[in-house]
Amino acid sequence: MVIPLVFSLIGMLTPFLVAENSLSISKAGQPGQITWEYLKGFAAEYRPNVFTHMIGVAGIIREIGPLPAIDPASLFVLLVDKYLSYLKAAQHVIGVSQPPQQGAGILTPVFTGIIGGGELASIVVSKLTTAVIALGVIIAISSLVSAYIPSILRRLPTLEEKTELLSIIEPTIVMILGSSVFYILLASLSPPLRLDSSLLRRPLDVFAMIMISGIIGGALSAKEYLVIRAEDIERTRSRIMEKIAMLEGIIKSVSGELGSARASTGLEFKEEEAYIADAMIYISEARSRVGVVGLSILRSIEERIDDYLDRVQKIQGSVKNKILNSLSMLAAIAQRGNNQLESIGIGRVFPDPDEVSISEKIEKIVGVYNSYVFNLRASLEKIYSLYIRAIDSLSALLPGDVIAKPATSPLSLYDLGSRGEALSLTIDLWIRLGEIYWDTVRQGIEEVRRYLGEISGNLDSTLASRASKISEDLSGILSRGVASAPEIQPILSEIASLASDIAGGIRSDIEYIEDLAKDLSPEALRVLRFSVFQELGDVERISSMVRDFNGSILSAIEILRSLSTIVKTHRIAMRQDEEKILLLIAYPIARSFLDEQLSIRGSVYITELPFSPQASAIYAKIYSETNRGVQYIEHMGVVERIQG
Amino acid sequence: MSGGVDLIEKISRLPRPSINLEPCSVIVVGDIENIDPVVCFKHRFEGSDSSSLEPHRSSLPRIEGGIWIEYLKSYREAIDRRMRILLIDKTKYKVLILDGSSPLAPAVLSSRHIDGNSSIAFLIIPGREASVFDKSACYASYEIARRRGIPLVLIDRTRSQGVYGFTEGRILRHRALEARISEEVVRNIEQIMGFIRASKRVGVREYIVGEIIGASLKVYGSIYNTFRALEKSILWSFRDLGYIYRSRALYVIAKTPKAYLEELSSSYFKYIGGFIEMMSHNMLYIEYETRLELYDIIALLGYPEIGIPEHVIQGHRALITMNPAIEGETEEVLP
Repeated sequence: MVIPLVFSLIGMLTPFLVAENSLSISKAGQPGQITWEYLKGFAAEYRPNVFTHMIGVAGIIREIGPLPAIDPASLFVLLVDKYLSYLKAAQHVIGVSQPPQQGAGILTPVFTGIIGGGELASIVVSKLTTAVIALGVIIAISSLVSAYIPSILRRLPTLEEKTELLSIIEPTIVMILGSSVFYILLASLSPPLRLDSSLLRRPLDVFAMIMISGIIGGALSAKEYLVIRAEDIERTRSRIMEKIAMLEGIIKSVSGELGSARASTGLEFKEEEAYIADAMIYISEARSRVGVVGLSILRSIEERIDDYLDRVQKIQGSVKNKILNSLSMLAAIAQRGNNQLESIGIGRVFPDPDEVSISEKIEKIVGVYNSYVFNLRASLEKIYSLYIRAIDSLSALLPGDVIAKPATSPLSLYDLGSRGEALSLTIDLWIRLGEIYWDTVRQGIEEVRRYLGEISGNLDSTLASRASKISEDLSGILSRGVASAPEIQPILSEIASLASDIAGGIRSDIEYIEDLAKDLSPEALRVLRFSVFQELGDVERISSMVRDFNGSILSAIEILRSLSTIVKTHRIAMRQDEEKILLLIAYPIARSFLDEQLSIRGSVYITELPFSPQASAIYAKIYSETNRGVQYIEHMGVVERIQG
Repeated sequence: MSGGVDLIEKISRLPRPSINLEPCSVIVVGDIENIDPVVCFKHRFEGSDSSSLEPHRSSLPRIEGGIWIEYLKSYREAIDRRMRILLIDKTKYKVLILDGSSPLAPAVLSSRHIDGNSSIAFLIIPGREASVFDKSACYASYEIARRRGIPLVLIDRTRSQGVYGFTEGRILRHRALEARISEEVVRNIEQIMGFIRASKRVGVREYIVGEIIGASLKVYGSIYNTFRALEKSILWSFRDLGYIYRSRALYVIAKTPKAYLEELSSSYFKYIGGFIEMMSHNMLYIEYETRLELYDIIALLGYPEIGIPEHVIQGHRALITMNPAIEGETEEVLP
């Protein structure tokens, strides 16, 4: 920017200084005031643009070719002539050749005099040589100083970092300092070189020159400022649009994740969804305003968008967190439930979730969560169905106690999303069940086992081992706790079946004795009565109890109590009855003996019979009671024919 | 079916392979309860509507209106062939359990594979109520056995109906009792046949049986009492009870719990002291355990000749009276 300005000054000032000096020389006593005035007017009102100068300079360089061997003054005039001609041509080309109306009247004679005044040029060349050289040096130095001003400014500590500010104020400073240097050098060199200028005489001109330079520099600075500001706005808009696009992308992704997380996990993300909705509204508003508002509003929009970006990005993490928190909460409840259920004999029914970290993708976290929720539900369903079975079983085992089912199924709660509550409710139901009813069941089962122990001692090995097995199974159930309640009833049914088999066995024994007895002599049976026949009533009662067995512990105890009594007496009765059978099968021998002896001797001592005293006495009794004309004198141990 | 039998009979004429045989064959004829011998080959001959031969059952067609004479004439050879087919002829001992009423019994006893050295026959004597045909058949069986020197164990069915035994939770009576006795003999045939052969040398050929099966000390008081009681449980009818003690040979099969062995032995010797004409005696002891501590005593009392009950002889004579030709035919077919 400085270099073109310097060239511009050189281009503008040089010919007028030359012209003024030549006029001063030709019209002695006529100061260069007029020329300087022209110069001021020209500089103030007619400032060819850089492009025009460039054309002018380029034209000179092209036209001159190899420099002619003439003196420097002639060369200068030639160069000025060529420059002006190209300047004029360029002004025509770019359409700025119309000078302001105000200055037209002043400038025209000057240009005419310079361009067309060949004789004028020849007059001044010889006298101008020194002045031109000096002026060139001054301009060169001024230009040099001006060229260095920006680099000096950039090195100042206060401006070092403020490149934008520097680029705005630089043209003004360069212009003012450049023209100041020019004046200082001109003022310093004019006396020795005998140069004359209004600048040296009129301080107002100096002030005007500096002012004009300042104004030109200021204008350039202002332009620079406006350009920078415009670029800033554009950049900000572009940035905002980019950020909006980014924000929209993230919102789209987060909304998708939220939607799928909500749909698949059933968790609520109201806060996050509200924030996203808010962000989307703001995006719409920002988009409509971003093209029309100024930089400060743009900056506030950008800040707001940045804020949304930051928070929406955090929502991704918060969704994961929320799912993981819910997972941890469920796992903690399940863990507590497992411990409690284990203590009442149910065992660890709830599964543990798969390991997953927050650094995993949300899809994986959702997958783990869903899998856990699914598995947990399956366990809950299992344990709740076991609970219902336990209630049914306990109701059947303890018909007097009314055990109500819960009004709301934990599974419904679970399906409605209150998963933790559903788990806790189920666990509490089990604990309460154990506390309230299990003790009663335990006492009843202990009594059942006591009776089974009593009975098995009086049973044959097969039935005894069945009774022992039942007792062991019940013992196992008691050790496993309330959860095993549903297993009790089938075992009680087994007791009923065992009782039925025992009663059946006793009935078979009775039939066996009955069957044996029918082969024996009827007269003997009139004397001896079989004990087992008296058990028929008890057997029928037990059979009836088995038929009416309602699955309750009390009912099982009643059956076992009756069985306990009968099996105790039955073994003895059977033994006695079998002995009676053995006794009776030998009766034909005894009868034959008695028949023979009585026919020979008329009387027989029972000690003569080949039998034990007890058997002989029984035979004697049977014989005497079943044969007419025979009596058994018990105290004498004699069987004899009754005389007469 | 008869074609199949012919084929089997043709095959029987082919050279026979050497086979390890059971030591004893049991041949059952007539109305005898099924016995359960463990170590013998059992075969039952019976009359039927048709002829058939199965491993354990051999049927021969009934002869309409025929008595034992027709059966003997018609089937003696067939029975011989079947015994050959069934390898009965090759077994060491043959135990015949014959229902004396069966018209087939004389034919079986007449088989050339049955002889006095390797065979013993249980002959169940029918009661007084039996027909003359039955009694005649029984008479013929007895005569054939006697004449061929086949040792006989005679059991009076009337008696077997009036006494009891007890084993394995059931009361034994009648055919069950007969089966149980013959089963015990079959089980111990080796020892018994040794005794019978030896007794035969001193003229003892016919036996009767006494049994106390399912005895208990609570009933009898002592084992000696049990031996005493035997005389009242002999499956034979005597007019003279002293006849028992004139037995020439006594073979006792005793099954008792081990604890009774000593008492059994002393009782046995005390008991045989009462026999006045005893020439040989032996006791086979079998130890066993029972829930009710029961024990069994089975005694075979041997005589040179016991004869058959009078009602059987009279039955045969009555048949001859009705048809005198039978007498001649009887003499013709008897050995």
